[in-house]
Amino acid sequence: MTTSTTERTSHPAGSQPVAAGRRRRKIQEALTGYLFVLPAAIATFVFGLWPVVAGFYESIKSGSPLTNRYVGLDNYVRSLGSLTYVLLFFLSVILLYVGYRAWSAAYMRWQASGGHLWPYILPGLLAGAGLITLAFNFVTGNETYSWIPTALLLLALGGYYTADSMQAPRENWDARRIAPVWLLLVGVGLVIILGPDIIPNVVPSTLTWLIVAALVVGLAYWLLPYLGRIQTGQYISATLLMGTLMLLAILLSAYSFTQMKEDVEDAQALAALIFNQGVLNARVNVAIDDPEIGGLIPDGEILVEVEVDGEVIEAPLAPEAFSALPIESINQLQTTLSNNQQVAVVLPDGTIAEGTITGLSMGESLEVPLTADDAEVVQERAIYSALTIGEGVIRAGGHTEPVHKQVLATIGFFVGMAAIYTMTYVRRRIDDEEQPRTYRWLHRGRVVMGIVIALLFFYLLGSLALYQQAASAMGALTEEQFRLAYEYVTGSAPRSTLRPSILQAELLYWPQVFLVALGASMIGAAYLVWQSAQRTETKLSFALTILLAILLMIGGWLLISELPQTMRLAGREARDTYDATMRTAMYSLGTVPVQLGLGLLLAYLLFSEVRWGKGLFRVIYFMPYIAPSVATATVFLVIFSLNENSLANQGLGLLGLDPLRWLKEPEGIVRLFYSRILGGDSVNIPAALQGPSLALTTVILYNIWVFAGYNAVVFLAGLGSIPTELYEAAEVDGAGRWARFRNITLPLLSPTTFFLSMLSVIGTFKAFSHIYVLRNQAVGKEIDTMSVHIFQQLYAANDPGYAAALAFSLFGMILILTLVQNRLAREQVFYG
Amino acid sequence: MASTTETARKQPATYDTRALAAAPPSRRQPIVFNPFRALVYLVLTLGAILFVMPFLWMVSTSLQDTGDIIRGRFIPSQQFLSATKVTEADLNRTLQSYLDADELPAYLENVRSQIESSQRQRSLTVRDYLRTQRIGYAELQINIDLPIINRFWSVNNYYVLVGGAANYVEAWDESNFSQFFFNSVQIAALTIFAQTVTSILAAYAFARIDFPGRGLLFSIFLATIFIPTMVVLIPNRNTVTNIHRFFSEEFPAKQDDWGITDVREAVAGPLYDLVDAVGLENFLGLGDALTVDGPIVWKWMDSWPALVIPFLASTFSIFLLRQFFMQIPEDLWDAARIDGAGHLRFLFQIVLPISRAAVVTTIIFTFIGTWNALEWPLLVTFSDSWRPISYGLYAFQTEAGSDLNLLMAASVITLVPVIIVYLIAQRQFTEGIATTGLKG
Repeated sequence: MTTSTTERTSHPAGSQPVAAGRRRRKIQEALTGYLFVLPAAIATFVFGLWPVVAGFYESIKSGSPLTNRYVGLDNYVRSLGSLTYVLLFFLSVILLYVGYRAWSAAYMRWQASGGHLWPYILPGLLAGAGLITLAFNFVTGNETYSWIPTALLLLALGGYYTADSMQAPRENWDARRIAPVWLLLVGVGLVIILGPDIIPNVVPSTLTWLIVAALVVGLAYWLLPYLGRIQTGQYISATLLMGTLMLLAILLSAYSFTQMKEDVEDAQALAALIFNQGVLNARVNVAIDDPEIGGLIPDGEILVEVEVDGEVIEAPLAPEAFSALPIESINQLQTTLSNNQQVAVVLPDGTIAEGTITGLSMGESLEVPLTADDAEVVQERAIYSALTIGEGVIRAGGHTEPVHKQVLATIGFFVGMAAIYTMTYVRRRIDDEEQPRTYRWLHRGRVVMGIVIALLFFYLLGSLALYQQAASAMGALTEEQFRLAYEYVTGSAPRSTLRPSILQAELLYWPQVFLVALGASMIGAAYLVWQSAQRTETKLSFALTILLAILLMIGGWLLISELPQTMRLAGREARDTYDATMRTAMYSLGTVPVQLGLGLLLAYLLFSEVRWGKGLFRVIYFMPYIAPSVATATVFLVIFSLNENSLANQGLGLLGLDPLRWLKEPEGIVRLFYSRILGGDSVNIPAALQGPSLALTTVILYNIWVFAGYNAVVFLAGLGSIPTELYEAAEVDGAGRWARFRNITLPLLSPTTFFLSMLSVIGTFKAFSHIYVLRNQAVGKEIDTMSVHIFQQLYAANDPGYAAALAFSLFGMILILTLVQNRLAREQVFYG
Repeated sequence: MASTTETARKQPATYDTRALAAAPPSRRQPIVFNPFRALVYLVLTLGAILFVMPFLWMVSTSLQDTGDIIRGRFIPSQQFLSATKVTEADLNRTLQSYLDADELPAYLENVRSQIESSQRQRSLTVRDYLRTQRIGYAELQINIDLPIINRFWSVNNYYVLVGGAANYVEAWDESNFSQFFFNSVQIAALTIFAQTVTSILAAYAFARIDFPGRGLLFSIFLATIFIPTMVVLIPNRNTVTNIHRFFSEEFPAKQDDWGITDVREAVAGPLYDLVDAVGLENFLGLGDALTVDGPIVWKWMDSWPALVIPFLASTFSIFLLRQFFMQIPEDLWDAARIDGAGHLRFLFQIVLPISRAAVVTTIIFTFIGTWNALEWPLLVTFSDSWRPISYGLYAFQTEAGSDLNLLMAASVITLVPVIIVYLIAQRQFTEGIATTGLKG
């Protein structure tokens, strides 16, 4: 580094040999560097980076070696349902954001150092387009247009060179320096584009390759020292990244939008066909001549006044009173009785008799709630309600709103939100004394925007309601009924993969994408509002801002909580994915805070309180981390076996508790605690609150046992780097042990904590071996986290395409988590 | 040289002075009972017992017999180990109470041949055999406590191992476990060697050598840390499966080309010539690895390359070593260069000796990683010839999971090498973690 600066500062024209020696040394140095990195680089590229590309490619294909065909997003839709589209939209946003970050870093440097940054944008976009087309051509093997990426990349290279030349001070700006480069580029381009047609005919291919290699080596030799001197590397990489990511984001969102639109519109068209009055009538006429629902019983004991054999008595309705009812006379599992109607009642002596209802005043009727415990009856009831909902859809005047209108409305919604944010931002910047008009107009603009947003929001909600109606009607159809209806409207049987549940899921895509995106952005907005609370002046406005943030947060969560429902609707595979994700999240949440806290506690105690035996403690606590996980997991199998003499159950026995079934126990720990310790009925705890299952808790315990020691050792290293003077000064000031820990240790340790929490979260998402061992003895899929689930899809189900899609979904989750963690860390972590 | 060692040890040195400064007052005053500190020790000791418990349980279970396990005992009731020499007469006497005298010689011959053949197949132990015979295992145990180890079974003498430690011998012999162990040793040795070399070179280049594109390349390396294993697992399996067909006409097997045809046309021709000229058949003991005529067939699947080559480089090791190399003062490099040392010499004679702790740390991490690997071996090995010990233990647990004492003995066997390596290198390891600044 020192050598390069001296070279740059001194530019003596006369010292040619010295410069040449330096040049050679520089080249030698660079070549040594490349040579040193080469082995690791090859291995990393072939087995670390290339798989990401190849894996993605794998995930958009059917995967099995026999039918290895392109299936687009099918694998993702299989695994995630509509969430695929949500995630793709978010991915585009993240790509844009990363591009923006790179740009803003370059922009800041530009502000600080001067020069030109704008000329780099065009080459950046060109290079991005070139790279994307190159990748596309490479993957599809399409060679017809291979000159396009070449030309784009060459243009971008020239553009970068031009921009670089403009960086120099004005007087050095020399057109002659650019001309040869452009000429060279044109030459290389011609060779690459036309070469394949000319060269093979002239010389044998081996020789061609030798010539090309020699040319490349020569070019590299000539360019290397220049490359080392490039001062605008950040500008180039930032614009390159920005261009590539921006174009990628646009392509991605456009692609996923068209895919979704296709799916949704197919489903929409079908729904429109099925839910029309003709089908409703036909269905009733075709299947059952005299439509009625059987097997219904009154819900509870219902006393009626009846006349039996001329005698008026009060008796409960017999269970068989409504063994069969015409469909028209029941509504939502409830029927009405009126005077003079024949019903069956139970007489006091237990016999059942027919009677006519009396005692109801004129024009009044008795509402009887009905129930059915026979599955078949419930099914028939579902038919009935499906038809009613279908009628509802028809009466709503049409079927569903076209997708593009809603997309426009959504975009308008988000643009409006951005506009409000910008206006608030600008308004805070300007002085209301100096520019009162602008200040006022900005406020008015905000209000107008707010109204527009609200209108758009209600429009969207209304259109969603339509979709949801159609979807639930579709979902309520049985397969048999769907088949009949389909046959009636199209004249042919539906293909075997087309099921009402799939159509229902597809009809829900749009509402789900909208709701989840809205929910996530509301949570984001809540975060921003929360941040702005610190800037408020009065206590009231502070309280109001916080309240707003909390409301936004709750609203966002409510919208996002639609997710599980949608995943459940999207089929068994999506349900599995959802369960695995939830287990992973639970595993992560149960593990990371505890093991970090325990690690910190251990490290703190070892560091500050322990004089002798520190090394021994450290070795003991660290041992689980280095021990082979297959071996230790096997021990945990034995310790946490359901045998009542297993170590864990013996431990429970010491505490006077009954043995548990550990890995074989699918029940949540909150429920178990409630029923075992508090003696309540576990049904009282709703399923959402039951916590991780005991089986999963065992895995969590294992994880804590393994990683607490590792965290402690890393925390110990962090503690060692805190200067002791701080503690001494605090002690002089009379700070107690807790105050010192709270105000010195914790803030100064925050980089370590951040590093460890990041590592642990990623670790829990990657965790495999021990879970795979423990799952042998575990009940069902109760401890299958995402990684294990993916592996099972690959190893047991032999479905690589689907497994790859799942793996990429996991990758996306990890990426989002990392970004969120980074964002949060920026405020909380103190880097001294 | 002297100055570097000083800088490298600077941090520990300051701790020492602090400890010394703290020492005199405590020596002057009588040791005061500090209740808080006593509590801390109590908590830490209890915690340590809790942390060590699974290991103790593992060892104690491995030394127990079935009865102890069912009763959930901690201390094994049976003796540790005794090997008694049983004469043929003893054995005959035992067997005679169950067999007729004329049946006995034929029976013994049968057992012996069975054992010999099983040694070849490495699948059937004496116990397995006896279980299938008329004389049940439990009955034979009356006089001769099994397990009998087949290698001690010679023509005239029968050595019988009795006691808890015999479980280890039996676990070692059970279903190829010993072979898995040595497979793992070989895989670990190869991986550690290769990975350490590549990581040291790359880390040194990233820390010391100024070359264009260094920052970009390093950030690309770092980015691989965030890629989940599951993402790379599937394509890597494809790579490993297909790589031996890379130069053959049948590759790519699917309709995707990835531009491979071009590369093959360019590279394969000269390579065949080279193989032909040098005569590289049966290279590296890989059988038909490189054949002269026809495609190059170097099968990676189910062999060591599949288990080693994907792990040639480790971003984590490179990162860790680079952090350490960056702390070495610039002056040292200047001094070495004035003395005429190049990068390689500087690296091997000065940098590496200073960085022993960091190198040991990476080696241990690599060792643990290799020894633990389960998902990758599950995917790329089909036969026992190259399956590692983690697979062995996993299979042991799924197949013979009921014999907990044997299972635990196998677990201890898996555990012991790691613990030994860790205890030997413990000091350097903790120093490596502390000084490489594993703190973001």
